[in-house]
Amino acid sequence: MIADFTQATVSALSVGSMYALIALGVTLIYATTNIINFAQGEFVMLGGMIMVTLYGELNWPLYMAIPLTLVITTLVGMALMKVAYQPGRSTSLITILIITIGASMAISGTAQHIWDADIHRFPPFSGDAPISFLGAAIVPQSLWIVGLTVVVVGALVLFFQFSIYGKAMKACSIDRGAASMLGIRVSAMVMASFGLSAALGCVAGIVMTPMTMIDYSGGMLLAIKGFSAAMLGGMGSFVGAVIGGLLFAFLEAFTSAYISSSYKELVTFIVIINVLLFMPRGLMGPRTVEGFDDDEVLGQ
Amino acid sequence: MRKKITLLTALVFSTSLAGAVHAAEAIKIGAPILLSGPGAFVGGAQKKTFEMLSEEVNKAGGINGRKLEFIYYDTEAKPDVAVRLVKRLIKKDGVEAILGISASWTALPVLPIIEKAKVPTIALASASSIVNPVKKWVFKSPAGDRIVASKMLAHMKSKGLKKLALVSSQDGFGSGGHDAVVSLASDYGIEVVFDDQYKMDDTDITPMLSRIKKTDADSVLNWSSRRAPVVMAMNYRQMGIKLPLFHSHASLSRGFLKAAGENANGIVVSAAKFYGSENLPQSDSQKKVIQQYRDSYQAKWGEPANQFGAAAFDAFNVLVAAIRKAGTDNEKLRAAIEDTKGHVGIGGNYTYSATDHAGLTRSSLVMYQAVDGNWKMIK
Repeated sequence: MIADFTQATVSALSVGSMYALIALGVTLIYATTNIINFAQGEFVMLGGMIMVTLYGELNWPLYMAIPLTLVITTLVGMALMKVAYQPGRSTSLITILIITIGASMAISGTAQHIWDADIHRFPPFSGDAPISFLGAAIVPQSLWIVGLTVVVVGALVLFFQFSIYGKAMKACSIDRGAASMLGIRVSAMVMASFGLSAALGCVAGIVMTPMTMIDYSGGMLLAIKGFSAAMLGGMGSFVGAVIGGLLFAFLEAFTSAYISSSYKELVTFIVIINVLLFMPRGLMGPRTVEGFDDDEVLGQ
Repeated sequence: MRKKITLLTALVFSTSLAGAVHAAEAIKIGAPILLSGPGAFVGGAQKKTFEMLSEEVNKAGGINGRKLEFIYYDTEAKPDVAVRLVKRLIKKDGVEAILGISASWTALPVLPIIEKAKVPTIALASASSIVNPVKKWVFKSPAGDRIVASKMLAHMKSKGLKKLALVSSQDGFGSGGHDAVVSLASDYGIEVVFDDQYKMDDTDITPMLSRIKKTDADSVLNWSSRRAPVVMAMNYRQMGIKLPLFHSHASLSRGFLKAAGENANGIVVSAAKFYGSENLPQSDSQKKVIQQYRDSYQAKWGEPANQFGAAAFDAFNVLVAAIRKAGTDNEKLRAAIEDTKGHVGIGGNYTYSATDHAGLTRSSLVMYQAVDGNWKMIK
């Protein structure tokens, strides 16, 4: 009995951390630009795939493979901002949204040509042998996932609370017009948010691939899960993204542990729909309407 | 300009028609197969196989002086496209037989059209529902999920296993296998004590597996494709479940072994002899056929053959043998296909009858076990 419970909790924590990292990326770009970036999952895929090559096949040490993977993915994120956000900005949000979907297909298509259509995995950082804990089997990699997520979320909080760049990005998310009048280069902040969000997705890809495997087409589904988690938690809220990701995973894990795996999506989305019906801005979303910015005026 | 082009095409058509009249009329065979998208390798191998084989037949003078002419269309893995193309093959191109439809879900909606038009057809898709219940004009060449499941259940019975935990993915492939196993299990004295489904793209199925631990199952069967079997293999070892683990034939690939690594060790699957043909004893009648096909395909196209092309190979040879015997009159041709007895192909020994248009029995399959990165044939 207790074993089932721990097993489901452990599964939920590691899967939830992965969702949380993707949701954080989605929510970060949304906060600074009001765009839902459907290419977010591709960063996860890229992170996993590049690590497969560097760490899995070329046997680079982790301390070299991880930074290079992060750098490449971050650059892809910034390039995405250049091709998707900048040209589309003068049209409407829906255009940019469609561009991100297109970008997602383009990235996964390119990945299929660079690598192949097979499923890939690289060895976990500290072996495959499961640790037994309260009757549940835990693979060491899930500890890595949870641990790294905690570190990343902590660093993110510190960055937004204390660093001048973090504060500037936050200012852009609250009111872009005012931020720009105060001398903050909004386009640089948008660029930074795309880069940061790509890095977040990349971290998710790096830590989860040994457990979940990756192929070129896996990105879109992850983006949708991350998007749902971000909506559940409240779009634009960092705490909400983490809570949303964890809650999403808990619902999935406990439905399949106690009812049936086939009801997983059903239960999860019933909960999400109800949350959004009664709390349209999600669990942690802002309760009051913010000062209107350009896009909201355009929206009306 | 436009007028010129029409004139030109009219000219070309009339000359080519004139050419056709001189020789005996070619036998037109329609091949609606999957040639684009992620599954393009499926139809690609089938087209290459047809091209290779029809070239051989035509070089030798065709069948009774008539050459074979294949008409290839891309079904794009879409049922509506498949329906349109098959109608076109029948009405406009006037084909005498159809070899094709690569994917089960595109084959099923096409069947009523074929039945109505009365065109002898050998399907290249594996779902048992294509020929079950029997359609008068439709046969199929790949081994279906029912045969694979019965081979597996027979193997379990021979090992004294009685209580099966069944997990499958929630998609066409998974539920096809699921239904076959559930309906056949009792014939082999096996009881399904656990039955649950998961999504093909789930990344962690340990919560579901922890419920298997609470049952009195003595074996576990997983029926899924793509990434799911790898996740299953990893989570299964992670949970420390020691029961024998069986997988569907979808796991029988190098890609699966590479991705699952050590976790794959011990997994047992039932599948066609194609992959392990080098391990077959010389006495096996299929061995020569399989090796020959693999070698000639490799030589002609510079790439290894796969089981989708193998299905096309069998369908082609069954059809050609029937045309040689009965000509192309549709009633006679159909009867000749149905009359095929003991045709040695890659997939097995095909014996069709009025009540069986699948042609294969479970004796054409073998069991494999994963041992350190290789699939070994076992008894």
